[in-house]
Amino acid sequence: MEAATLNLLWVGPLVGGLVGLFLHRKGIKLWIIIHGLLQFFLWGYLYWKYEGLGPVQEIPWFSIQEKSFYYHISIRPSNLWLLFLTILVGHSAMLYACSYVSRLRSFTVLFFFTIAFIQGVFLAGEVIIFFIFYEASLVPAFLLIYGWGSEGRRLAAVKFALFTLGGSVLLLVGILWGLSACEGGKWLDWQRACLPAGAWWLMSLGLAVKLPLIPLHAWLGDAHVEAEAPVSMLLAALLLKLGGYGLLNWVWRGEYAFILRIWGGLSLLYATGVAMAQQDLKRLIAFTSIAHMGLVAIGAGAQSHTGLQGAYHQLFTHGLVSAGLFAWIGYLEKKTGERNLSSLQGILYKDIRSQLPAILLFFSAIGVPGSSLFISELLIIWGTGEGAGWLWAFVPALSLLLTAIYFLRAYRDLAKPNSTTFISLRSPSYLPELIVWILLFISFLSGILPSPWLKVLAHAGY
Amino acid sequence: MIGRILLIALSPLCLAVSFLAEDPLLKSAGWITGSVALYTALYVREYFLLHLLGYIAGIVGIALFVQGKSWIWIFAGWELVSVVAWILIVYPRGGTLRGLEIGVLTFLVNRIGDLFWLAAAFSEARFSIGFLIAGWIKAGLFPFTFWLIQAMYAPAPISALFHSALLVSLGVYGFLRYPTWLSGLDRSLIELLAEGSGVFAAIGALSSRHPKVLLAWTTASHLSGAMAIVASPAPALNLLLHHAYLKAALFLLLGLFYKQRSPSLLLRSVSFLFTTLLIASKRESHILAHIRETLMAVALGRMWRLLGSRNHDESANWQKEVPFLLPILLLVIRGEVAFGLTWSLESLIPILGLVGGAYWRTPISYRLDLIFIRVTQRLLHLWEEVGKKMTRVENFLKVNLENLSKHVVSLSNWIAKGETWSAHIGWKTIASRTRQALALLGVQGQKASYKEALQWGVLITLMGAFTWRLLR
Repeated sequence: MEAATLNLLWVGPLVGGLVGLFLHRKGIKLWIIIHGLLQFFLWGYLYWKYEGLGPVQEIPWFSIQEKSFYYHISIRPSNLWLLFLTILVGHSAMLYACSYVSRLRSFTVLFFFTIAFIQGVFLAGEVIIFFIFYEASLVPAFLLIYGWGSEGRRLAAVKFALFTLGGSVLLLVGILWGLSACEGGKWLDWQRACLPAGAWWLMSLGLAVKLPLIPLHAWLGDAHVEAEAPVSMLLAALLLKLGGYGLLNWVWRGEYAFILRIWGGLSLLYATGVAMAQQDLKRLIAFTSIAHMGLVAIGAGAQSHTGLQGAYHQLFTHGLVSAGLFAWIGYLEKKTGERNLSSLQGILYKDIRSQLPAILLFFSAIGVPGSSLFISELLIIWGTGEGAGWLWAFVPALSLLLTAIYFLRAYRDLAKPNSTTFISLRSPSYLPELIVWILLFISFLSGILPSPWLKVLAHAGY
Repeated sequence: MIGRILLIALSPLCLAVSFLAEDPLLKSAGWITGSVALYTALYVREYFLLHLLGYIAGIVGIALFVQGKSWIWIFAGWELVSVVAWILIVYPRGGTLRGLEIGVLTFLVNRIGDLFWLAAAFSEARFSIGFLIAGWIKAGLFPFTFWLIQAMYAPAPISALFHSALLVSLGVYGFLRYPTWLSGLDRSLIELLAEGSGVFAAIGALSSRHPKVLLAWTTASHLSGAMAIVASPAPALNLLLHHAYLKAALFLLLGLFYKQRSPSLLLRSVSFLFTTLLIASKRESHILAHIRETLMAVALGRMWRLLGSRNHDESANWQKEVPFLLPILLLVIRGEVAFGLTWSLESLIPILGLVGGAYWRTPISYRLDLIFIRVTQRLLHLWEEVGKKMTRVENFLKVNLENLSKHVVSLSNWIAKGETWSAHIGWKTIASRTRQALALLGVQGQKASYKEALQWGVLITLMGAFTWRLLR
């Protein structure tokens, strides 16, 4: 029963996509809701059964040179909440898309497939399975960027494909090198720091493209900006997490951790600097994501368990906040036809009801007490201080200040008094607003009552 | 109306907190918030709910800070008060541009302190100076008083609660609640620095011509005094909380001065009396402390004069002021009862200073805080410039990558064209040659296209490979 449930978590969305092929617009919306509820039910069952290390399914697959490989999927402390995030953000983004996206059927099918493969990446307990799902997720994601969005989407999609496929080559070579040195491809074998230095470097570089860390981030800005809002939600909340999760789950190793710390720190400073000068709100949020993912790398390189815990937590919390921000900007853009700060000045001034989600989202991204990012960032700072000393703790702590600068300034521009005609920012459909509020609710819930998350993550990485 | 009632109802609840709580700051926060809530209900005309939620969040922040079991909760309390202060600076005046800009400045300056706090709290090594810097900024001690001066844009009740009692007090109270923050620090150096900072703040007060700004400078000066004796918890706590009650009362009185077009003699007498109560207590023996207290007393005397000169209408209707005086009296009585004054002969010096200040006619006006505001704005501008430079790098990357992508796309197009050409020319030729060969051999098959020939070729190859694999 548990094994079947595990498989259904990734097979379910595949089937969901195929069913979606035969449905009309209204039917698709209903199907997404039913499918989402079923997935939440499956996840709930697995959460209930989870005791430190959750259900596992392992089937022998093939052997090469006395090394056996398995179809191994399992629930672990590191992936339990990420699976929840995938179900939540994936289905929310699809529902969001229902309110306005053209060619909805193809869009939904590709979206379902992407979710399926992302779930596969998180579930995989064997490095080969991880890689297969990781690669597979690129195809529908590429098509989603290529097919829907603004004018420059095709070029952005090609750039996305070039970068991620380039990263995949490095990742594959790294994995093969690692397999030659490790006992097998199982998750537990790889946790014992068996990776040779060369393999570590190759895998880190490959995954840093997806995370992304500078200078391998160049695909992200365009992909986020040119894609439709639901695809941006998918990219920021889930696809980036594949890189972070891969780095933490498969590559993380104490010996070389300091490199990740330096790299993450540089990435954080660069991204916050670039975000400071952005006028395009979507691009601003995209660079915020790079900065926040820099924090994940710092947490991974903190050389302490608290830092690692914080990095895993950040993957989850950033997923919620970034998805909320892209959803909010999506309906702001649909309503006003603009996403440039200079054109949107004062847009929130007279619309008090729209100010509230904006304030909550911006403050969540800044990481104020009560928001989920507050807990993750504090854990990362704490872990860095513990493992590397107070001077190093300054680097992640800087993000609290630098992020606040551009978000508060952006908010000031959006909310300052404006004499132009009043435009109500309330969405024509209730769905986008509802989705923003759901994401905000869970973000604040996990910030105010963080125990269920932290209890699970207490065993992550060890 | 409902908002006003709720705000009035909040008052006894907060007063109850002050009786139930054990921690001295939480007790005081309950009492001060209760009094300020009552005053606010009478004072403001809109945004009742905003004030209500802000006050509740402020109390929750203090509770988290003093009762927190881990660094995370302590920091949550420390930070929450700043967030609430941001909201209450920006919105009660209708979300003006100035409010938004001041909100950004005050929040960011406080965040610089948080950065040091976090580095100090979350490292194994002793980095207590981080706590000192954080406390210094939070309390608005000189030279960081500039954010406190800017925050005076908020209405009087907000200034009374956050910028004289709760938010700024946390900066000093942290050292009393968690004495480990002081470990490894030279206490005599802290005393010297704090007293020196207090003297500068008193000079800042003396050179101000705006009563509210003047009062903010004296807050910084008073808190410097508390920081100077932070190594002796009991007197420091006494000074800190006595100041919190009395200064909150003075801010509320100031609000009343602004509200009433013609403040009565009663109001001016009461304000003079409360100012005397605030300054006339012997606390410290350091020479700088005497200088600081005297300068501050002169400054407060000037404030009284400045307020008096607003209006000379002696027949003003004092009855209107009485309801507002109730919460103010609650604060003063509680402050005096709980942290009673220790009068001495030395108390006469500041009192004389106060009287002297009240008769000082020479106008002085100098903004000591301006230079620090400019430095902060310059730093922000500098960071923005760095951001622009980084964006240029980013654009360079973007353009080149786009070119690369275009080249890749055009290369793929060429490959596709080549593929079509080879299929058209190459395979067609092979197919026609094969047909010719078969015809020569006498096999007259159907005229098949080269595409079909290719398909058959692939199929036969696959089957061959499959058979070979099976047999092996």
